Amino acid sequence: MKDFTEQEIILGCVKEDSRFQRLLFDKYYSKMFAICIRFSKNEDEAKDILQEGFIKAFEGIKRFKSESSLNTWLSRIMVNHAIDYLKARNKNMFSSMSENALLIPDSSGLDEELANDLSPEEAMNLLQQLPDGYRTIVNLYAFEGLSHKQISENLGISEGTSKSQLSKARTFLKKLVNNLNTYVV
Amino acid sequence: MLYNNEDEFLKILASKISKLNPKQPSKNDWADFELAYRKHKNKKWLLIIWFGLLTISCIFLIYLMYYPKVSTEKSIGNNHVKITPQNKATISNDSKKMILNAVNESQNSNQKIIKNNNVSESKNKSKQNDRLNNTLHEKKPVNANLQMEELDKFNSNNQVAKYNNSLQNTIDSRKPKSFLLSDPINKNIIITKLTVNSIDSIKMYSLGATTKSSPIATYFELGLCIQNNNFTQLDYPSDQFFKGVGLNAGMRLQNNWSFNLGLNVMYLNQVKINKFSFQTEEHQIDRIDTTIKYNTNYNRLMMQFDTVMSYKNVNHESSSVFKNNILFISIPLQARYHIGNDKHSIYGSFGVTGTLIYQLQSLEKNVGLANENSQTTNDYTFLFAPTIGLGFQQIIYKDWAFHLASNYSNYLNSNLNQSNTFQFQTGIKYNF
Repeated sequence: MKDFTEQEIILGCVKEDSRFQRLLFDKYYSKMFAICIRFSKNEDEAKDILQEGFIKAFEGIKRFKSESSLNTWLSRIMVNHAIDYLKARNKNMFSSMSENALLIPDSSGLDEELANDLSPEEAMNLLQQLPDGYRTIVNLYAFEGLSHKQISENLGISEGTSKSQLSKARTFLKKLVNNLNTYVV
Repeated sequence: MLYNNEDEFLKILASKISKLNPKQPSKNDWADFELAYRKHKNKKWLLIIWFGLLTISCIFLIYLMYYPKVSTEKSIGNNHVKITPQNKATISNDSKKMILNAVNESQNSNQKIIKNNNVSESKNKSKQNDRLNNTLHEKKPVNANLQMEELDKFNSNNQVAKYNNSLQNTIDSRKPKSFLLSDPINKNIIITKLTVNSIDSIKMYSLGATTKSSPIATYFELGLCIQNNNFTQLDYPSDQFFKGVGLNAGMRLQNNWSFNLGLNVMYLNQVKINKFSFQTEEHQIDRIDTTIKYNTNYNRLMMQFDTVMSYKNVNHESSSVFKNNILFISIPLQARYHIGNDKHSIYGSFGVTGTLIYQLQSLEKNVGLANENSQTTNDYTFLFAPTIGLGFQQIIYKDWAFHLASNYSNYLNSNLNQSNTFQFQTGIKYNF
């Protein structure tokens, strides 16, 4: 098949031509799936988020202006949709986090270097074990590089809550890492 | 990969995850997406259509409730019959005969009166002179208003009231009736003829819908429904049908059973006009010429009176408008058993139906030329009934199906009378 430029693919998608939609889908599938899998608990959930995110993208591509790259635009759609998806599933996603955090014992003093021994699959597995709220904040903070202020604006929570929840999420993860290494030993 | 340097632990974790091999798209991924995208588009259109239908239905129902149009209006009076093309079809042959009879009687009556007048003036002058003498003796002007009051009184106390009391009376009143209200000889006002006739004008507006189901899992049905009742207390012609909008939603189990909950809203609007028109003829004495002659042949002095009279026709109208609005809301809860496959199936159903009937009746009387009292009554009726039914559904295109159903309900009202309802539904079904 002839190689099309990104602009041609966008124009084709605006015209709802399924050939161009497939080109765009195939081109950005891997990158977008990587985002979705980080926000979700498993692969099936990630596929659902990805499908719905692409549907939103195809429906909104008429409004796409080349002020940012298509990759950035699609990533933002996926992240936003992943947050909406998780919020729809658990409306008390952030309010219930503090209760979950109380169940986690204080893990201060654990060796952070244990994380270096993790394989990429183990690291992803740990991330997916986090409750939805923690995982969302870790994703926005550590992967999307948002500040606590931006996170609070995105999620509709206070900046202090964002900081405290990230701290608890970190503690949760360290505990999981520690447990994993204990079993390995 | 972006991350915050201040958090070493998360930095390491993010770094590890970013090293994961990216998942490449497969043909199945695209096929799954294409299917999901198509369903999403269909859902969008279905929602648009559904809300469109709902909006149109609401607007139409509001229109029917607040702007009931009178379908026919006829006036039958002295030598005057007006039938518009719109309502012509609704007039039965009997009614036509009655109208013609009324006209003929009216004409005959007029001819008789003219004849009587001629006789009075030409042949019976002496008698007429006597009457004129009496009239002059009374020295009172002709009082038309007094006669009108008598007529109105007669109309309102007797005839119109009877007409308006019930539909049955109205039907009886279709027969033309004539009244000779006063003696044309003894009084100077002659009521030539009063013809009373009423023609029903019943117009029914309808809009309906039924609800439908999908073969597997949850389903939703939208359609039209038409219904015939024999509720005697509703007081409407039995040959009229309720039509309305209905929605059904339900769940199809893995076996052949499905459970259905519906909401049907139906409406019947009836407007009935009883219109009476009649004509009075006033004879008025304008002057009396008196001639005194001396007949030389007989050597007699003779005196002769000649009268000059004028005639005046006065039209009178009397009418009443009977409006009957019935809202029929039924909520069937049914279990259905399907025989067939996913493409086409026949089902039998049974269940119960809760029904709310709201009836608003108003009667406006206009007797003579003056507005008289109006009466409005509201009735609410709640009923439950066992319901059985038969249905059929056929997939016609992809996820779309055609749906046909009929339901029969047997009600027992508070007066221990049984009423039956037969409802027919048809519509389009979409399987989600």
